[in-house]
Amino acid sequence: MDLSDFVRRLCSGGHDAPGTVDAIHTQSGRPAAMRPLPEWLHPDLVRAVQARGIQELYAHQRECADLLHERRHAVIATSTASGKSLAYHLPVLDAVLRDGLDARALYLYPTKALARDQMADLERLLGATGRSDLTVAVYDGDTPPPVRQALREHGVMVLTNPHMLHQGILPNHTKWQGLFTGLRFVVVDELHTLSGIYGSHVANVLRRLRRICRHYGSDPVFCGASATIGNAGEHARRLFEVPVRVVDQDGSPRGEKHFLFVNPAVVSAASGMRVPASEAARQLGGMLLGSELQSIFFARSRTQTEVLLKYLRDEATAKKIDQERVAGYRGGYLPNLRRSIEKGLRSGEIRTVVSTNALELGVDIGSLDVCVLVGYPGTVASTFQRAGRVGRRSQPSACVLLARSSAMDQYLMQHPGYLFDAPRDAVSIDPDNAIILTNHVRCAAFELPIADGESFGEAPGLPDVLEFLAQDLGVLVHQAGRWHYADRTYPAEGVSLTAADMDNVTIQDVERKTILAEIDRPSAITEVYQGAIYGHQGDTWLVERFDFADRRAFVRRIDADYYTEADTETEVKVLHLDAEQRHANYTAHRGEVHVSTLAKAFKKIKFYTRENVGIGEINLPPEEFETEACALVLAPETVAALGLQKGGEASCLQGVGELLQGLVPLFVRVDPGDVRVLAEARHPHFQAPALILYDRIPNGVGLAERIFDVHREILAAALRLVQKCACRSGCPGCVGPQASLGKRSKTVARTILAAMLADRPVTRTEAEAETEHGRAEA
Amino acid sequence: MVAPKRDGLRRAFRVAAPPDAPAPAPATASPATRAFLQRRQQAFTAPPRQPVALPAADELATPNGTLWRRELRYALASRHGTRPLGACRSLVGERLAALAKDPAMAELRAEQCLFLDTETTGLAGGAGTIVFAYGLGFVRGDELVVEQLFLRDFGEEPAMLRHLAERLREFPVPVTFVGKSYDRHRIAARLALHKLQAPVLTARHLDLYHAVRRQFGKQWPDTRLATVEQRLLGVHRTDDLPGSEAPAAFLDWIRDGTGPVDRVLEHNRLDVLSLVALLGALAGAS
Repeated sequence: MDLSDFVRRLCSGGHDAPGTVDAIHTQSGRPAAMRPLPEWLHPDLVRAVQARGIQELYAHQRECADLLHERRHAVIATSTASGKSLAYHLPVLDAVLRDGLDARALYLYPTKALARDQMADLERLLGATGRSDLTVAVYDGDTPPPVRQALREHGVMVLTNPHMLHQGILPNHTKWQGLFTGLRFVVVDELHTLSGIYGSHVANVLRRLRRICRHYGSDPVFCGASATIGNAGEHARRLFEVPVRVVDQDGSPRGEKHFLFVNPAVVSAASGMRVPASEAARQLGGMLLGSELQSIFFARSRTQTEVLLKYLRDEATAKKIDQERVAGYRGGYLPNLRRSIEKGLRSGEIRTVVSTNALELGVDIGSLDVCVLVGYPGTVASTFQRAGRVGRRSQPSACVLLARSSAMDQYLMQHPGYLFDAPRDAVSIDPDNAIILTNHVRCAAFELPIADGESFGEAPGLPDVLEFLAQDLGVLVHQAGRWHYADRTYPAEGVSLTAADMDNVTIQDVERKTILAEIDRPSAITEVYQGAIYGHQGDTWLVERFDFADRRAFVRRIDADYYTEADTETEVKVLHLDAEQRHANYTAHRGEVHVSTLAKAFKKIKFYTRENVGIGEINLPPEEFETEACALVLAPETVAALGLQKGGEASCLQGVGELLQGLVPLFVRVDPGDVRVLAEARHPHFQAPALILYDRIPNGVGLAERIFDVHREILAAALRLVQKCACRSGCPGCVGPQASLGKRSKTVARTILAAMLADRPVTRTEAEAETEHGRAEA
Repeated sequence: MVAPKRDGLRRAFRVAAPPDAPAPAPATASPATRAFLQRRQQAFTAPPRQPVALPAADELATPNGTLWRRELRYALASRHGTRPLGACRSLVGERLAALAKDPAMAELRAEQCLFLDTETTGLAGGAGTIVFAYGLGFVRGDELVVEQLFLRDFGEEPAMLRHLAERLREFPVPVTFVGKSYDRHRIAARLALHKLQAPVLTARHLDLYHAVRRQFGKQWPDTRLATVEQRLLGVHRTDDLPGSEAPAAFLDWIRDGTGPVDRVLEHNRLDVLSLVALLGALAGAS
């Protein structure tokens, strides 16, 4: 079965088909756009590159290399496997070959694995130039002491990760004088992964880096490498705080690629439930096994990966195919195992691999034929990164998106063009988030005293932060016009780049007295309250005691036949509003809020039957934090026209809230759970029904502002989804299951959305007509 | 993305504003914040501390700022504990070489040595760890000179480091206790921060801690300086400020002049004398 056969078989349906093909989008192939090697390239490097079979460069590689050579900051944002790394390796190596220790480079990769992978590549290139005297190495937790010393003294290229730069290098910059004095290039790879909290932290680490460089008199050129996102230039500019040129015209060749949108069969028309995507994946796997096609399945969780792998291996055995041709892959596997799987994929020995998102980033596995996404990955960038794993040179390839029942996935089935329209996938960070900024200013003061009037990147309000650190936290002392670090602690240790607030709860095994896991404090009140069942690596644990003040939960391994779910109540108080947008039937606000979530009770629910087998109390303080939000408040006349004064109808606002929460990731780049929506039938501040979309990260990382800017697009998408959804009165694919929200939730939600999008105040008769219309269609 | 204001930062970090009377920390605050608020409460209710008077010393004016320098002189014939200070004058080559595990050390004379002990604000190292006091000892004629440099405020560090650099050039072999892995790196960092050069990471560095471990490590319960003083030097300190309290002493001093830095300096003085006595005890002619 070749690729066209495969596509035909999928489309033809049949009883063994994983679902219906709701749409096919074919990306046409394109030839390469080539440019000659730059004239400025060092002859040894020209030879080295030619020895690897490269006689010319893709247009984007040449463009980026030229910019860096001219000492202009750049960001290269082209597809996976378009050879981005050569675009920055060439100018860096050229400078190193000519100017040695005066042209050093620092490379930042998000993970140790990626850094080491790139190192291998770099070593080959460098080796081919014949210069074995140059010290180039990875600096991370596993680097042996003699290598660390060599790197500090005469390392020309240092490959590391943001965490190491933050905790190891910057606070000890006096040991790295050579690097900082001679630093000419800073390369940051996988720029699009520097989003949300993590990205906001890294932006501040880079501010500290630039500060240290200034101290030593260097002024390096910054180069970012990113997947294709909607705002590569803006994002790079925010991270580096310098003007950045964008290189995004991809010159690499591409074969025809078919995107197949496959929706698993509907199981119950009334409830709208469909066959789970994981089931459909199994069927698809069965089809592909034994064919000549090499395929990769991206599952959404480790468990799902393991389960799918097991099934496919069983299928392989049944079909008398060698089990070793089917492999699993995830970050938790040991490095040796991962290396051998990557090798097997490159050589073709492994025909099918089931992976988590671990194989989304850079690691070289060659090019495969079919990619299957078991559920929408959550962002356009991820989708294309994964789809980028298939397609050899000019051969056709296919990417199958298997939809889950969720609103987001179903929306995509209805609107496949979304993935290919003008990119909306914009990355958000907020380097000036109060907590994050303050922690990094503290680290910066430890590195070098901060002078009055000095700026910290583009951070506003630095004097207030310094006053706070000195007077309220007592870690700085102001003397003779400078703020000095005056504390015993090593500040970088107390700052984790992935947390907004370093306040974790440890989960301890009472029997073995060991620490099982850690959980962030905000999640703790809904996960490890006394009586909760905590799941860990497939086992169930009962929480016997939770010492909140000391941040410790004590658990005992049990065989539970039930799980627990906490009931929470969230209250959002408006602190102040900063911006407003008036529309005919509602007003959108943006501002700061105080969020308080209280977990009061929990339910015990039996596995499989989902019966309620008990309840319990939760005695924990509310989770409170301040953050930014976007509030959509209905106008009083609209409320009257829609008959929303009555409690029952207004609770249907909840359905709208669920829907919006599900669709936000399509318009704003967020990690799951970063944005929550609270629907209040009558919010105390506004005295009207309100939908409050808030940034779950304390003090916000810029999400609320983005949502405020694009909220009408989200509303429009929501209305389209509800109108087209085939369910009768609510399903997980639109406003939520009818069972929890009531029979009228879908129709009322539709009416509300239509009113919000209307450009004239809606009248009672119009509202009733819309409701009737909705009811008739259902 | 409103600019952070102090109140907002207090709320974000869950730290109450310094009030007339601090309230107990809420259970919702993180353990670190609660510890901080507890300390503040203790400080609030503790009797007011008196400003500390530094021991008599010279205040030198240099082109790079002022320098607090205390000089004490000891006749080499005098003793520290049971050990004559002058024993360091008659060092036995073989014993020196064995101590240092380096034959070149056999040639060492006391006049080349800079006995050195630092007081810092932390063990973790890094650019923000401050060396606030240096205890230096060197032989001049028939005397042992103990020189102490103290950082009264951050502005005095350039002068302090320049003076230290001169001493390092004058007496090229540092003699320390755990200095090879600790003190000299802290000094190197401070010098680098102020863009000064000095031969502190020299190849020749006599760290007596390693010598003591080799010779007595198996017999004694530990090889801390206090143990060495008691068992080998006959030195018993009374009312000594533990080294672990030195950082807090300095940090209180730098804020409001009340940290017991006088006691730190006393502790430091004894450390330097013990170093001199120890060298004599380990490698002097018996």
